[in-house]
Amino acid sequence: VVRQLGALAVFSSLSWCGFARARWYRRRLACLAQWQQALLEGERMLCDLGQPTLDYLIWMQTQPQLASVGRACLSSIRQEQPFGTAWRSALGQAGLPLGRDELQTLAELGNALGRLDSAQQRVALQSARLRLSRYQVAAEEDRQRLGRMWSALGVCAGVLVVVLLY
Amino acid sequence: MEDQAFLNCVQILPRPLRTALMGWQEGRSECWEEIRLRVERGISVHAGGPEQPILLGGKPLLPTQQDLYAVIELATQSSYQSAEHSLRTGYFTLRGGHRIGVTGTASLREGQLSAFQALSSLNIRIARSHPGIAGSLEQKLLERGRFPGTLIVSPPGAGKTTLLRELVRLLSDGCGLRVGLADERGEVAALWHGVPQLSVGASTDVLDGCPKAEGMLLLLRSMNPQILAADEITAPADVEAITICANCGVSVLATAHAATVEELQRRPLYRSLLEQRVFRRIIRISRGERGGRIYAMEPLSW
Repeated sequence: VVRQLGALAVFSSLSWCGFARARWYRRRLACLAQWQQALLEGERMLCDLGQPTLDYLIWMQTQPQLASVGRACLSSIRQEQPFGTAWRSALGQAGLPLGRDELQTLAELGNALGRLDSAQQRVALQSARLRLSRYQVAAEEDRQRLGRMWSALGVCAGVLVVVLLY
Repeated sequence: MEDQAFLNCVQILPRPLRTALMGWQEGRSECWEEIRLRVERGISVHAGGPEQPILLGGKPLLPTQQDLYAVIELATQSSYQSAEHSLRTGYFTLRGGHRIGVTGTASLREGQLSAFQALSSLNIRIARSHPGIAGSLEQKLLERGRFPGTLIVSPPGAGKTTLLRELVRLLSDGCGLRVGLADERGEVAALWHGVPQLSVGASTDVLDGCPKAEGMLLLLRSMNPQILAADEITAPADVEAITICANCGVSVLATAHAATVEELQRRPLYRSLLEQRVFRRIIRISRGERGGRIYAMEPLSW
């Protein structure tokens, strides 16, 4: 019974690793979609309505995957950090399921939001959305291809290790 | 007692500059009217006389370009877009009515200033309420129970806005008249979430953020004022709106940049206003020997 439970534990662990990696691809896709929404809302709030950046960050706090970014950024700004620094540091701390280029695209917005006039902010937001939409297409492909691969790899690795050990 | 207006203004300075200024002021800030920051040239304060440079260890404190950007960022709470409309006219107003004037290399879009590529100077004008400054005028405000159209004139920086605010307060609270205040720049009442930060009286209706001309006509239509007040008549549209209001039986209280009536009459914009007899009297502001203001109310003769 112990051997069987051990085998089950080994199999489950390795499979879980594979599924977790596959889940990361799904979360990345969802996160990119959420950011697309957030940037669109940013364009509306900051550029169309001229609302304060703090209101935008407060709105971000209500969004599932972006809440931690909004919260951390708001807190840093209240401690008189420049927006760019606060934004980049909040993105770095949030542990978002995004690749380096995707994070870089978002981080660059720190040089524009709240600092440039609304027309230039709009250009920055639209350009970021365009780049994110390209990443979204790639992320969808990755999810289908690599997501399945990692799931299968996890299960196969589990089976292989169980067979080798037992 | 702490000088709250000064404290509000220094809050928008980057920490090192703020600390230096706080250390330097040593209770002298109450007479300060302006704090000026010039890139690589120093920080100075203006208290009526010549500018006083701020020294740190005997050396002038030299703000950098980044310091000026930091001031804008702190003052707008990282929301340039919210102050953008106002910044296009070269200034923006803070909570409390303090005003920051901006100069530098302008960036134009469609022939209009859209932003500043590089900042050169900032001028932080500290807004203060001075209840009682118009005490000498209080008894003369009404003539046969009516407030005649009055124009406050002085060169820039002499305290027109401060006097306007105080007269509006006196007319509203003291005389019980309904005053409509077209506060385009938000300097007179300094509305914050609908509440005036500077006292303008209980019977005063304030419209801020709206061009003066439109604002006055809107107030005329919607609030049935007995007196309309506006700061700094500068455009033909303002003159036209004032004339319409005066012809509707509303008394106008306004300010204009000029040292004397003769100077006003030389300028076509004001000449037409004077010729139409919208204003029955003027109040001239001059500085006394010790920096205080002297107000002289005179009837306008034709």
